[in-house]
Amino acid sequence: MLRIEHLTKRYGDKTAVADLSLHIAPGEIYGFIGHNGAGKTTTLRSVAGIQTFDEGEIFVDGRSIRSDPLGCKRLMAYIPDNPDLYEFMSGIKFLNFIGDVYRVGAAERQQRIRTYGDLFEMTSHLAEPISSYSHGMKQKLAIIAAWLHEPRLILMDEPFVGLDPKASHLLKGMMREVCDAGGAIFFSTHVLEVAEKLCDKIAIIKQGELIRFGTMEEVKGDDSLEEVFLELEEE
Amino acid sequence: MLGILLKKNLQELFRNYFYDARKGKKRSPVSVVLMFVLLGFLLVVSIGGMFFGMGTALAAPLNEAGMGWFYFMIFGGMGLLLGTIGSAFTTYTTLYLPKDNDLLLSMPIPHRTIIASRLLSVALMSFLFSAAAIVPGALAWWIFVAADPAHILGGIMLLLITGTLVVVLASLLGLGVAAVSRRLKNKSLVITILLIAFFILYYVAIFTLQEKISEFVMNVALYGEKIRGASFLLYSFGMTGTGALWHILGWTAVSLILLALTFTLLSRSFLSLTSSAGSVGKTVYREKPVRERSVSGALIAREMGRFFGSPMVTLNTGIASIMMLLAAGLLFWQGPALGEVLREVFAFDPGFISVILCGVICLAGAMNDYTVVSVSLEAKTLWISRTLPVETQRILHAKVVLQLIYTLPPALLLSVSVICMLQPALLEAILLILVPQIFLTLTACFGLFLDLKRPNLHWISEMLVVKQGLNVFLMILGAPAAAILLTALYLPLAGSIPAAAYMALTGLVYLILTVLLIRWLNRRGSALYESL
Repeated sequence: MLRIEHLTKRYGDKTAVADLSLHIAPGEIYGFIGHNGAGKTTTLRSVAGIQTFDEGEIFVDGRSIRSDPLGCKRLMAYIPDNPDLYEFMSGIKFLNFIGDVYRVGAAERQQRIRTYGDLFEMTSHLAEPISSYSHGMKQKLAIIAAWLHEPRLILMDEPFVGLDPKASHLLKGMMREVCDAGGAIFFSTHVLEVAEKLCDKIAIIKQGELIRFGTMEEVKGDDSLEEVFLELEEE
Repeated sequence: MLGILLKKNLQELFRNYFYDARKGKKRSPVSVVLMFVLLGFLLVVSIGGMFFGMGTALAAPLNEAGMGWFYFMIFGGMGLLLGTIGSAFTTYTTLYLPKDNDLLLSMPIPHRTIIASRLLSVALMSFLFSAAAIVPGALAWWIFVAADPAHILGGIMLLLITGTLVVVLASLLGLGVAAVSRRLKNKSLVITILLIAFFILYYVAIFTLQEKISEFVMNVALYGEKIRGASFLLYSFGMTGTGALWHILGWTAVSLILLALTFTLLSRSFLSLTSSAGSVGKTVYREKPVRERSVSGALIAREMGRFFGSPMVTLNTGIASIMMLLAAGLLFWQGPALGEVLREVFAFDPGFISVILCGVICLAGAMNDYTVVSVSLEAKTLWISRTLPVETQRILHAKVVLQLIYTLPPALLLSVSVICMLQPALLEAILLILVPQIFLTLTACFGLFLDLKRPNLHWISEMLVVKQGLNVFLMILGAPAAAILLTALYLPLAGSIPAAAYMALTGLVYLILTVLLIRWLNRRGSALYESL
């Protein structure tokens, strides 16, 4: 579903991501962990087509993000770590805007908004301006918007930050459903317990370089993920 | 503490002048100097030149009539009007809506200090606009009448007093808007309407005042003493400019007391106005049938939402539409009489009137400048556009199209009202419609060009983008200058080339530039947007 090959991204003299290669198969939830500034967000933003990269190639379902960015974006959804949405819109206007751009039909759109809106207890707030939403509500709206066009690959940057326990639980279930339906999830997190329980595979990035990746068992063996992560960070 | 906050405000205000956010590095000293020289030139030539010309005409006659106080009253009044109009639309945002409210309120900083630092931002704009009228007026007086220490002190004090009064007026308006907005559901719409009403009333007042002033100037000797006796405040205000010490002291005391009272009022209400949700009821969501839109339709609707979503954006980037509609109405009403006068004045070349009025329509419409802030306003939401499966050209086109949607129809109506008034030959009439439409398309594209070249994506208050950005200055001074220049170029050619031919040539130049700019936007512009 997602193939990252030798990705390198530099900001001036600083190399944010160096020669990173990763392969995420359909049905996989892939966790991406690393300390602050390790290169997680840069990698996710490069995959989402938000920023260019210097070397390497990224393929989404066989399509290159460089040569067919629109084709790739139609298959993907991205949720940033800080859900800055259009504060001049109401929740429902934002969802309809996303529905129009991704060409989600009226009936399906309405049904999905109702389903996910009720699930996250957001339906009654949809007419309110986004500027009046709390951080958690914005996060929930961003999740509903991301799921609205049924993407095959979902990229999420710290998706559980700001969510209440119930919403976090619902999101984990929705992530699993996407993968069960043949999609894939690639997300970054600092919550190692969540990563340990939720992910099929995991990658650890340090100073822009991938230092360990694979299935949960391959990465952590008999130790806890926290122990392995801290040990790798100290090396 | 105040110094730290002020430094932060100034850093934010001038950051884009010294730092290229797109390239992520400081601008070169040469580019910074060139930018300020260009800005200064535009300010001095376009606004300063106009008031200096007025001062040159009035200074000597009023001095001879012993009406120096009246001269300074006029320029002080102009400064007050210009300053208040210039600041009125921004004080609410500057004082109450910066994005660092929560951060600053959570820190051990007295509310008075926060409000003081923001008031100084208001003051900066107020003094800038007031100075645009008062400094050229004072300079003309010093050059053509007297430049003794008393008059120099008077001119400086007039500016300081007027600027302070503008801060008071603008702050009270901002406070009023903040208090009203807490109780409104459709805040943006109601605030926009209120501010437009204020704007229109203000202009009506200026218009009325100007008529009285003109009448007064013609009958200075007759009315001078009468008005002096009837309105001591106006007389005293004007006397400050002449260097009259007691009047200076009096007005300084009045303005400082008013400022202190306003400051106290703002400080006391600051927390409740910034943190209270007010008494607005919750809007209940009711499911309605979805109306599907095309991708372009959705993108234009998004830009429209952004345009109408903030009164400051609506008013600062769209006020010319209202002015053009008002002007068109006025011409439909008073056009025949005005047309006769114009035909008499320009009897030597009737086509000249068409060229001038064509330039006036271009100039009026060019004050609409949404595109010049449209990229910067995306700021932290830029990630949404970048993840959408949409060609970048369509995103850029939507920005231009929105500006054309609310600019071209009023411009067309104004053209039609001018045609009804002048009743020119068919070709001239067609060009009176076409040339402004092409020019305004060009300015919309040029605005986007500027914002793609120098976007400000890291603002804390949107006022910094909409009102104080360098791009906005370049646009509101540069576009009208282009309209005036091309009209002025006809002056030496009048009589030797038919007006219609000149207008057609001008239109052709605008058209070529528009096509070139659209090509640039589609290629380089799109690439720049993708690199943000």
